Amino acid sequence: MELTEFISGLINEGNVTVAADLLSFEEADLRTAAIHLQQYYEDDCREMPYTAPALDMEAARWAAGYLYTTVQFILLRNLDASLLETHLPAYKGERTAAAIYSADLTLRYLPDLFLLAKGLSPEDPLIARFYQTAHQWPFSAAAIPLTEQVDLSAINEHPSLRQAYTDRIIQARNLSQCRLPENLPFVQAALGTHAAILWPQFDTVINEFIL
Amino acid sequence: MTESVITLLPADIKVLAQLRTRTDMMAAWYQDQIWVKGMADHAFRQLPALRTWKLDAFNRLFVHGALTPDLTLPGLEWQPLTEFIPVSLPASGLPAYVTSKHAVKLAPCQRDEESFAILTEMRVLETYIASAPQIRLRHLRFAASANARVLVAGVPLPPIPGTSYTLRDRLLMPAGYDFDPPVIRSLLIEKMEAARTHFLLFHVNGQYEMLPDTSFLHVTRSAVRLTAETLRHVL
Repeated sequence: MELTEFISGLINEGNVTVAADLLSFEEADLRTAAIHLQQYYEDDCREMPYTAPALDMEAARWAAGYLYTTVQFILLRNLDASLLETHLPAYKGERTAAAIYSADLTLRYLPDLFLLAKGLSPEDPLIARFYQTAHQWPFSAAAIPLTEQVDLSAINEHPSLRQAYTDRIIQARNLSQCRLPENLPFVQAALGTHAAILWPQFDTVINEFIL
Repeated sequence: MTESVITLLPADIKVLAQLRTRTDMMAAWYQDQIWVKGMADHAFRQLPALRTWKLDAFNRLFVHGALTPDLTLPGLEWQPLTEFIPVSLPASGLPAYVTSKHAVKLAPCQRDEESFAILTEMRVLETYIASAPQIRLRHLRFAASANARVLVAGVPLPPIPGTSYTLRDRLLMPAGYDFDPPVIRSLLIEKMEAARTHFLLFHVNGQYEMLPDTSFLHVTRSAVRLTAETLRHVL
């Protein structure tokens, strides 16, 4: 029940345990993990703006396994970089709004892991992998400053994801994302006429950027 | 010269009051007795002490002539006598008795104050939080009543329809209104013990509701939605 305990620890206690070896999850483990993810989804939906996208269990389960293995790669320093490709496979399905939100149930912890991994070893091949994942799942990586353009079309098309993504950019005070033309109007609309109270630095930085 | 410490009965506070201008003496309450410390001069020794000790540099208390300490001075909130025994005005020689009660009335006022809270319907708040950015919510608190009314507090307030209230001295007044006469405010605060742990929400007709501090929750989408769901089941 490695994955189930991992998800349960992540949601309920905020700390996780991973196996000392890379492994494949058992069928029974995946089934129980799905029940936890379903419950987590139902609870988390209440915190989402508008109506949250539906649950895509495939994406949710893939993301949970992905996060599990990522933690293993951070902790087990003896693992070879060549194993990254085989043990951190990219998501094969379509990145729909449902998939984005479902994967985010666990991928939202990616920015914290990114900071941890970067602090341990900035040259770690895992960091490049992080950036790659962040570009593919920008909704979950709103706190990671990205230099290259990301595809926000699926996020922009869903009001719940769009609003939540704006919330996250503001929460992370991620100015590089704020400056992007596709994000700036949403951030400005969110702050309204209260930017000076809610985020005093925003006006200064954005004015410098615009001028 | 070392300090002395004595204990007095509570009733002896009147005797101690005769020395209240002394700045070199301190007093504190401990276990229903008055503890006084200071230099044991003539006036100090005249106090009707229950027990008397000498105090050494290590806060140990010695009975007169004893070589070993009796006890260690407990950690007390020592106050100068002027603070320990505050003065109060004497009662009037010919006191009048107020037999009629004055109804609290509110009247429109000219003062321009920023609104601090808004009283609205739960469904209005629920609709607002669904589309509002999180940054517009996180400084807000809300308290809901069983009849699905909700008070939202925090600045800036959300742009939703409702009755605005200003806040001063834990009294929430309808915006644009004050007590008639305004001096009622200080009397109310003085009279009402509840004003220390509750917010008093006044209505234009002078009636008020008491909202305990503990009834306020942070405005999060989940907290508002769960509260609204609960109210729907209750009503």
